[in-house]
Amino acid sequence: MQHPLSWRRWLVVVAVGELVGFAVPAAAGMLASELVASAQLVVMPVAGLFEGAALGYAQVVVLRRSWPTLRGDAWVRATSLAAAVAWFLGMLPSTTHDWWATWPAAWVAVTATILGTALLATIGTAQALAMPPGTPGRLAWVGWTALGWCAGLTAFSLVAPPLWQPGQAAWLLVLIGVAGGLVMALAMAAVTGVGAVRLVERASRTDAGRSFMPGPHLLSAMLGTPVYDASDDELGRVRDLVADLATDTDHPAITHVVIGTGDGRRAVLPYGELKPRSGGGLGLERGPGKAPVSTPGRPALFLRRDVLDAPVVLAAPPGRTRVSDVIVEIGTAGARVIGVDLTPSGIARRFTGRTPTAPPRALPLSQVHLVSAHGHAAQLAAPDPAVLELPADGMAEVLTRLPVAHAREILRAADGRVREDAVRLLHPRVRARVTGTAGPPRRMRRLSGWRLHRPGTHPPVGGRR
Amino acid sequence: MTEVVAPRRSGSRSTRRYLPLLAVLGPGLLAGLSDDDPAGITTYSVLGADHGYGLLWVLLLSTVALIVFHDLGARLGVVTGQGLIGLIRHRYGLGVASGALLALVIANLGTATAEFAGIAAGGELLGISRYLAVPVAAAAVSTLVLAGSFHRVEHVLMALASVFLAYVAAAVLAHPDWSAAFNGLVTPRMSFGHEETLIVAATVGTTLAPWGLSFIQSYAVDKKLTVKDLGYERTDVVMGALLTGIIGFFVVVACAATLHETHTSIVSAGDAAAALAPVAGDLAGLCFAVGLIGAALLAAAILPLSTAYSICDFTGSEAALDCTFSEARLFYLSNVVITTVAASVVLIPAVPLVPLLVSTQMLNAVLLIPLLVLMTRLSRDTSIVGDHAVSRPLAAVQALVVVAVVACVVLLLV
Repeated sequence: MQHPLSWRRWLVVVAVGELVGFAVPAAAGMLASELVASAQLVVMPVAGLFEGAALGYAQVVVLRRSWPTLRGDAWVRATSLAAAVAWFLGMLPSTTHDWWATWPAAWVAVTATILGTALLATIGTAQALAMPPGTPGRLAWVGWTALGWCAGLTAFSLVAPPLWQPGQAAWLLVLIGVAGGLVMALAMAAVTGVGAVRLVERASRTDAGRSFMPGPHLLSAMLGTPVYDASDDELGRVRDLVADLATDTDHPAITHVVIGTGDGRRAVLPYGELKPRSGGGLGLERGPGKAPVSTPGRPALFLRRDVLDAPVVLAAPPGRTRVSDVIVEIGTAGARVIGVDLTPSGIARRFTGRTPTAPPRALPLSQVHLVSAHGHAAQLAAPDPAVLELPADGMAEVLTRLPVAHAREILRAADGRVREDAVRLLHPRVRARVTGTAGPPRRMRRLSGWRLHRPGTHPPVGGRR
Repeated sequence: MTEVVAPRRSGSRSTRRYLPLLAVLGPGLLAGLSDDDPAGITTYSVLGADHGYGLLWVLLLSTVALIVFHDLGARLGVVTGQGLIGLIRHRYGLGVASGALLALVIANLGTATAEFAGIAAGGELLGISRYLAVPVAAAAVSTLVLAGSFHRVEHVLMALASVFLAYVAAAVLAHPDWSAAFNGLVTPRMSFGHEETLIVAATVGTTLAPWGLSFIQSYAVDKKLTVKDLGYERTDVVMGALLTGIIGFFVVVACAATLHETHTSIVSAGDAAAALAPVAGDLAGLCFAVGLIGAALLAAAILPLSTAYSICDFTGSEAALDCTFSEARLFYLSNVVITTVAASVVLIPAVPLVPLLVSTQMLNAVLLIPLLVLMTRLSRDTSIVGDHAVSRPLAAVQALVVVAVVACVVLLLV
């Protein structure tokens, strides 16, 4: 059985590996500081071979458990060679300073940009080439490693060079160097860890297609699943799921799947046409082009576009937050939305890639009101919009926190009695804003303020107003 | 039954016309003027002292860049009801947003340190110890944000911005050659030497700042501006950017009329204030020092606020100046923490501030490019802004500004 990759384990092991490896070029740099520039251009890349080997080995130690098909020896070899190349590129500006110092600024800028990009992309590119054939997300891995090294080198330059001052004792110089190396290693490992978790997840999805097996699933883990046609050609990847609020406002059914094709287009397929494949991913039951044309209806909610990471307003307890994840239950007869996860641990889970031991606590969709324009419109177009079923005080809380245009639409659709009560409960300034009536005189607006004020049902604590 | 009706019309025609504009004023003015922080004043001072009136036209370019992107930020905030980092998370996911937030928080912390360093430098010019000026300033800006309601905070910050008039006074007292200044403003000329290229890049780079972009968007959201206010908000942005450019113009003129004539080189705004006194009189030097402190104080108030808005945008927590502490703990706590840390760093003896500030400027420059690219993409994304997507001509102008800023950033970094 494959284990999910732990970001925390990656952070610790890879940072230690990098710190140990970095000691070799650091020591070589001190010893070779008196050598001529051309000699340094040889010594430092050779030292970089050891750094790359240590880094590659540490990464393989973590990856091995979660990615059995990865060839460890190829990975270590590629990382080692790439580190040597990166050191060579990195040493070029300082060792050839006399040569390029007289160049025009524009030439220097162009050369530095190319050199910097090449340096940052070297290790990721070499490792991508060492991955098993057909591994998805190679290009993204190059980006993540470049970002990781960018963060690492920035962290090092923020810590060590400002602290190194002329006349310091040798032990202090070494101590500062170690501190800089540690910060660099941690920053690099932290960023590449996020990429590694995603990389392994995508690789394992390709292997098992487990994201669409019966049971509860997180939307963030379902996105990116490959979709194949009947002749096993990849059509694209899952980019979004569409839920129909007309079926149920609490737990709407998934009706469609949005697929992003390789050429950048989007295709919307009925959910019933797709089945999990034994070889991984999702399979289209009919041949290419034979799937029925289908368009989601008016109260359709695109879970990635309208719900995931979107701001929401709650009536009880009153507040505003964001959706950390969406929980979807796959059953034999179909799929439905269980609810939304609003907890900060949902964010942490997406970062670390940790699979929850139990499904996270989900709040039904009807208990939150979406702030995104499409989400708000879909919820309001549902047969029995939950926001209109709220008691007056709950509706007043929601109206206070929503954008004015959304709040006015809710008021227009609300039942007369509840609307009157809700409006009466609003803070006078919110009432003026939302209803567009009878606020304080215009000339006083500037001085009296007219922004977020809580409803009269919840007077402010602390007496600031 | 309560009807949703149009706002009641009252008062004279001119009152009806201008009062909504007065009500909307704020985001553009504050975001623009806070760009004239000590780093900006230093850049303008060096521009004037080293190159005279010759490169004043660069201020026109940077003002255009400021108008384009501050207008875009305000528009995104008003239309989507979300701050920049929140919008990035919603559209591009957790990874991109958290990377942007992390870089923004680090850069803002460094920039806030620079603002408090500016307060320390300005205070010492007036004979006030940094150990008194910096804690008092930090306590003042924190108290303002913690204890003041939205309108009170806004009014105090706007009043603080009026201190920029000191630069106008400094320029007038320096008796500049106004015709040469006007000529330099409207006649682009440049020899493309290394130093000239660098100062041009620095001037454009210092005007557009990542924290300014995130601030204007979040502030427009906090102010609960609506789509109907967009026209007035654009006026606010243009006024803010023009005032920013005008202040920069007077700083350059003051230094060009005095320090450039006497071939005095400077490396900071504090140097400029000290060097102005013997050349243009004590009052001119005093005006410059007061302007420096005011600029630093304004930016020191806005930077932690911008950071707090961004953190809460990311998490989705309440972020409004009208909330109480118990309603928006994360918002107020992050504001106080940023202020305290930045002020503390300035007070630590023998801390090498210059490398720290240079690194911060580099980080700001690097962060600016992806933020500008993301903003231009968001502004054209109809799934986000609906009918308010930018027109093709405006998109072309945005692209030109992005290319110019990328060129400037690359020149600054190499």
